[in-house]
Parts: sequence; C-alpha cells; structure tokens
Amino acid sequence: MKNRFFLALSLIMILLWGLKDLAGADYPERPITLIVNYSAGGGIDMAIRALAKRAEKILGQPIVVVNKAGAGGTIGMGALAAAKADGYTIGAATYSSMTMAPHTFDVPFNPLKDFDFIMAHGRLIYGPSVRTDSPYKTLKDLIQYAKANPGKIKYGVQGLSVPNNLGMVYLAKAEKIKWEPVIFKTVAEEVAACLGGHIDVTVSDPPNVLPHIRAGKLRLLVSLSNIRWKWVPDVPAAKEIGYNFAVESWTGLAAPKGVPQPIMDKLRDAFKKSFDDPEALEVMERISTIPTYRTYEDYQKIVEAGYKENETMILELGLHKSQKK
Amino acid sequence: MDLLDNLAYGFSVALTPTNLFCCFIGVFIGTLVGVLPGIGPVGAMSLLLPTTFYISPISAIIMLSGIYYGCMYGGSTTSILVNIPGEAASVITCLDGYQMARQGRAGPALGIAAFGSFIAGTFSIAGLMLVAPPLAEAALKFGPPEYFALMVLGMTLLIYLASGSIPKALMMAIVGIVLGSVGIDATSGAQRFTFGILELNDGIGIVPLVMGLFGISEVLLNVEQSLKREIFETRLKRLLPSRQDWKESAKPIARGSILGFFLGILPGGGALISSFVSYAIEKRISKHPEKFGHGAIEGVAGPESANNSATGGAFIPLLTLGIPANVVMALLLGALMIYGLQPGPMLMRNHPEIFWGVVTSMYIGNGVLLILNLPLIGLWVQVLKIPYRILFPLILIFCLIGVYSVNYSVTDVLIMIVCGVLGYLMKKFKYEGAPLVLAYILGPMLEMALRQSLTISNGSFYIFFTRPIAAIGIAGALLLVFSPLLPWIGKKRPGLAEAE
Repeated sequence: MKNRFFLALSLIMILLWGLKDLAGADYPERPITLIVNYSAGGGIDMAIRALAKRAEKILGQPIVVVNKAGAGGTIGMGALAAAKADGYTIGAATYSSMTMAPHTFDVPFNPLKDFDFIMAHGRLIYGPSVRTDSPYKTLKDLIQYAKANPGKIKYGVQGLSVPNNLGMVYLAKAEKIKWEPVIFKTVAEEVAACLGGHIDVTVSDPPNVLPHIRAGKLRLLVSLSNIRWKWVPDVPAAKEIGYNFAVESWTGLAAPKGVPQPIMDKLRDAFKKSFDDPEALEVMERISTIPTYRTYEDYQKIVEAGYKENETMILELGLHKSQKK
Repeated sequence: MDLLDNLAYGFSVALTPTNLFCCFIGVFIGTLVGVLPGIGPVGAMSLLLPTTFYISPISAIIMLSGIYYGCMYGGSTTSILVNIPGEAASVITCLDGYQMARQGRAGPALGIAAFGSFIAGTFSIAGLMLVAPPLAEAALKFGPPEYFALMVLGMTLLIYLASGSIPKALMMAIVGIVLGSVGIDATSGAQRFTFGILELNDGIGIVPLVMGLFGISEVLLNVEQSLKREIFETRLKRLLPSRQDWKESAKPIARGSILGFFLGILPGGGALISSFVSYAIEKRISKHPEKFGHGAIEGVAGPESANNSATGGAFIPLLTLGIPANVVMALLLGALMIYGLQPGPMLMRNHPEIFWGVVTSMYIGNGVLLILNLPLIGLWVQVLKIPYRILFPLILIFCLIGVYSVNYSVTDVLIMIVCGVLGYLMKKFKYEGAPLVLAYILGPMLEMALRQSLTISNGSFYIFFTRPIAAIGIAGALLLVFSPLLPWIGKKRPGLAEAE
C-alpha cells in the first residue's frame, strides 16, 4: 500500500517537474544554486554571499551557495558551464579564471562562449609597495636604481601569469629595465618577506598591504590599475604618470549559456538591485574589493578584451600552454 | 601593572554571557570536528563564517578561535582509538596512541593527550600574551633562506620517524616528495604529474592523503584479520594516566609546548610540522627509543602538546602584524575584515577588546575543553567495545562523507581510496607512512624556499651560509646526519637490529 502511494507521489512530482520548465514566467519556483569558484570565507566568496543574501529576498527563493574551489577558479567555472541552463544554477565568473588560466592550461570551459553574464560587481586593483625605511621614496627612485643595477630589484608575486606580475612586466618594458620576480605561495608570506627585508617590493592588492601602509611600515609607489587606491589617494595610477597600461581583475556572476531570456532578465534585475543595497556595498568595501557595477554586456567586452590582451602577454613571457612540453 | 589591567579588561570582555556562550559553542564544535575524520578546522570555520555575521565581531572571533584550538583537542581521539587522524596535525599521534589503545591503555593515552593539550595550550596563551609583539618582529627575520635551512633540518628528522628499515623509510620519503610535487608548479606554471586531471592542479590534498594512508588502510587490514580479534583485549583498568605515565610525559609535554609555540609563529610552520618534530626529538633523546611505535606514552604526550601550543603561537603574527601563519588564520583575517576591523599592527592599539578578549577567552576555552574531554574519555573507550563488523563500516562512511564534504569533490574521495589501498600494501610489506607524510609536507615548502632564495641571491648558494640563522640550521642538519658515525660502535639505531 505504502509503496504504491509513494510511487504515485513521485510520478506526480516528475510530471510537475516537466511542466515547470514550460513556464519561465513563474521563475524561480525552487532554490537556486550558486557555485562560487573560490573557497568559503575568502574575499570573493564573502562579496558574493552578501549579494546573494539580498537577491534571494528579491527573487523569493533561497540561494544555496556551493563552493567548488581549485585550479585558479576553473573547476567551479567548469561546473557552471556544464550545469543545466535553466536558471537554477548560476555562479561566480572571475576574470583571471577566464582570461589568464585558459592560456596556461586546458580548462573545461570556453570563457567566451559558455556563459551568459549577469553582471560584474567588483574589481581588484594592484600596486607595488616597498618598506618605508627603504631608499625608494617614489616609483622614480625604484626605477632609477633598477636602471643602474639590472636584475637587482626583487619583487614578490604569487605566480608569473597573475595580474600583479603582468603589471610589473609592463612597467619594466616601458622603462626598459630588468627586475626579478620571486614567487610566493600566498600573499601573506610575500608581505612578510617584504616586511622582513628579504625582498625589495611586494606587489599586492589593497587588503594585504593596507594595514601595513596605515601603520607606516610599507609605502605604495604606484597603482598599476586604472584608478588610484582610494585609501592612499596621493599615489597616482600608472596611466596618470604617462604609462599606457593598467592591470585589473574583476569578479562577476554568470549563468550557463542558453538560459531563456526572461529568466536572465529576472536574474540581472535582481542582482543589480542587490548590488545597490547599502549593506552589500558595505561588505565589499570592508573586504577592500572595490564595488564596481558593470552590465552583462560590458563585462562580456571586458572579458573578451582581457582574454586577447593576456594571451599576447602570456605568450611573450613564454608561459603559454602551447609553449610547454 | 599594565599586564594585569589588560588581563582584567580581557576577562571582563570574555566573561560576558554571550562571549562565554560563544566560547563554549566554539570549543564544542571544535572538539566534534576534531573527532570526525575528514572535516578539519578549515572546513568547519569556512562553513560557519557566514553565519557569524549576526553576532558581534568579538563573539565571532572568540567562537572561531575556539573551533580551531578545540579541534586540536578532538583530533587525537580517533587517532588513538582507531588509528584514524581526526585532523592532519594528529597523524603522528596514531603511531603510539593507537598502539597504546591496543594494549588496553586507551584511557591513559586519551588522558595524557587532553592534559598535555591543556598544559601546552595554557603555556602558549601565556606566551601570546607576554611576548607577542617582539616575537612577531623576530619571525620576520625568517626569509626564504632561513626557511630552506629549517626544512632541510626537518627532512633529516624523518630518519627518527622510522622505527624499521631505513632504506624503506627513505623510499617512502621519496614517494612523499613525488606526491607533494603533484600540481601546478607556482614558479614556472608547469603542470606536474596531473595527467590532465584538473582537480590535481592544486596538488593532492593532505586530508584525503592521511585519511587514506592511515585510516582506510587500517580498516582494510582489519577486514583481513577481524576474526582473530573481534574486540580489543581491553583490560580497562585505568582511565587516567598513572604516576609513572606522568613521570614519563612531563618533559615531553614541556618540550612540545615550547617547540610548538615557536614553530607555530612561523608562517607555514604550524601545528602539523611541530607535532612531527616533537615526535622525532622525543625519540631521539629517549632512553628507550625502541618503545616508540609500540605504545610509548611520550610519543603521544609530546606531539599532542606541540600541536596545541602551535595554535597559540599562530595567533601572534595575525594579531600583531596582520599576517596569517596558516589557512585557519587567513580565515580569521577574513572574518576580522568583514567586521570592519583592519588586522595588522594597529589592531592591538585600536581594538584592544579583540586582542585581550580573544586571549583571555582562550584561557577559558582551554579549561572548558579539559572539563569537556576528561569525562568523555570513559565514553570514548567504550567505542572500542563496538564489534569491528559494526565499527569499521561506520568509520568508512565517516571518512567518505568527511572527505567529500570539504570541497564537494569526488576526486578527493578517489584519492583517499587509492591512498587507502596504498597504505594497506605499505602496512602489509612494512613500509611506514610517517616518513611519507613528512616528506610530502616538507618537500614543496623546501623547493619553494630554495627557488626563492636562489632568485634572491642570483643563483648563489652562499646565501645559505652567509646568513646566520640559515647557517645554523644547515649546520644542525649536517650534525644530525653525521652524528650516527660518532657513537656508531656503541649505540646502534633502535630497530635496526631486527631489520637486518
């Protein structure tokens, strides 16, 4: 008896399930899964959770955040690309996973074809800092020393094909100087090595060096990005002092390609509203991500341009996957 | 007295009902997480972090810290009872703790682990309180060359982890180095031994590795022999360590506490390495090294104290410099930032309630943990009375769920199973797991430090000898390697005789 009841019940459920897909207008009718491609508790994760918290009130369904970290965010984005395009799985779309990683190793998605973007909500900026007791008061001092002593300046980064390093390479190219990257596994170790005087420069994003800048231990020399660091407003951005490059990174949200238009509209609308929520903005501010809204179209363009630009640079550095083996 | 004022202030923060409650919840969850194999402090804290947004920053930090050091308490339980490390830093406790349990001394083993943890924990909190700022500055003196020397020293210690054949131990160390090098090489970006499997890009995780090698393999081994001994021949006479046990453990606990504290301060060092080093030291200076690996209580007391002491040490660079010494501290750093507290040199000045509140809450938490854990010993020991045919499938299920839950990754589960089979074969043919794990941990750190040092020195190896701390480390390693030559005639390495 009991078995039959459950059989009937499950058949009804299956039928309902099938019907539901026809009606895009009632979206969302069940919880939405949001894949974050970095681990829980990190900056990217915390910003997205803050956005999701607001968005679920707007959409009227819970948003379940699932962290699938690893391989520079490409595992999570691969899972997103492979998910059903019904609007019930969305995910984080991070700039470096889409524009840098695919050039250095094979990733399970096509960054330019597999996603419908929802928006970009934050940008990461970079810049080199030195100890305050070092002889380099300005970027000029550092460059002059590097010119006179090729290869003597050592700067810390967390890999060669990361925005921090690309920025330093652009700078070296523009000034025709030579300096050497020292690679660290984590930013924390890199900053500690700089504070301890083991390397000359640490190239980092604001959260990791700001405390030391405020305490008067480190000095930011230049912002390698399009904008100044608003916490250190006197230090110019590279473009303001005559360089023609900028390195930045973005975090955004996307759905797998092929989600019906009405659903995409709803998602974009909901997350735009949650971005405008002061509480979400405050969370992002606190973790020193710069809240910056870009529409899905703009983010698509940013990713496409970055994909090309970074490929050229990575080829030049000899780090492209086709140059290995 | 400034310190007393601060301490009183700290207690006034930590003893508010909310904070007391958060402290209790934290250490309770920590103990639980420590006991459950697979899920470690990182997993638990990252899952709980978003839920703490609703409580005040200080309460949240107190709770999250509680999870961390509570975990070190709980981790030893399963190591001792069923040879499965509850979290990575308790791997070494398996060696002697499990042997003690098999000899019916599970109670004293658990007891000394709890007392040792308490003593070491309290010691390191005192250290954190008294000497945090100058020590943090001193830790900055450790650059890549110093780390390299430290790692070389660590590698030579692996000889003391082996209780059987040295060639076999060396072979295992090489396997460990190979396993440690899996993944994307940070320096060149090259993929090593990944065979195109994306999940291997970040390397083989330590959790699936140690759970497979020590835990799953134990289950497999017992499936084979389960008929022979259905239940431990437990003469559970005592639940607590005897006077003799205390006498033997006192010095290892003291040494472990000091060692763990200092290694904990260094970024990347931490609980795991300090437990290995403590074990190696205890064995090296022991009058009866042959007992190690066969249920020596020193082999439990030392490492368990060291890994607890290291947790206190790890807070120093975070709270005074804003530099996280390990992943757990990085999570706490994130938590501080989300509450709008800028970690770093200014934290102690601008937010003394955080520093002193957390420190004093750790005193309370350690006390709570001791009270929580001592009565539990009797209960845990009962676990051993569960017949294997019920216990082992349960263990297997816990391991599988635990490993999967960390990153929802099937690859991790597969790695654990493969390591389980590998560990089973190793046990059958008398290859030891400890040297493998140590080499797996130290190998990548050693390589990183070497390459960083050589970049800094433009390729010159002199950097390791011209910098004093590095030179001392290297000299120490050389001394250790050649020391057997000196007393060679008199004192043979224990265990070597049987192996030959």
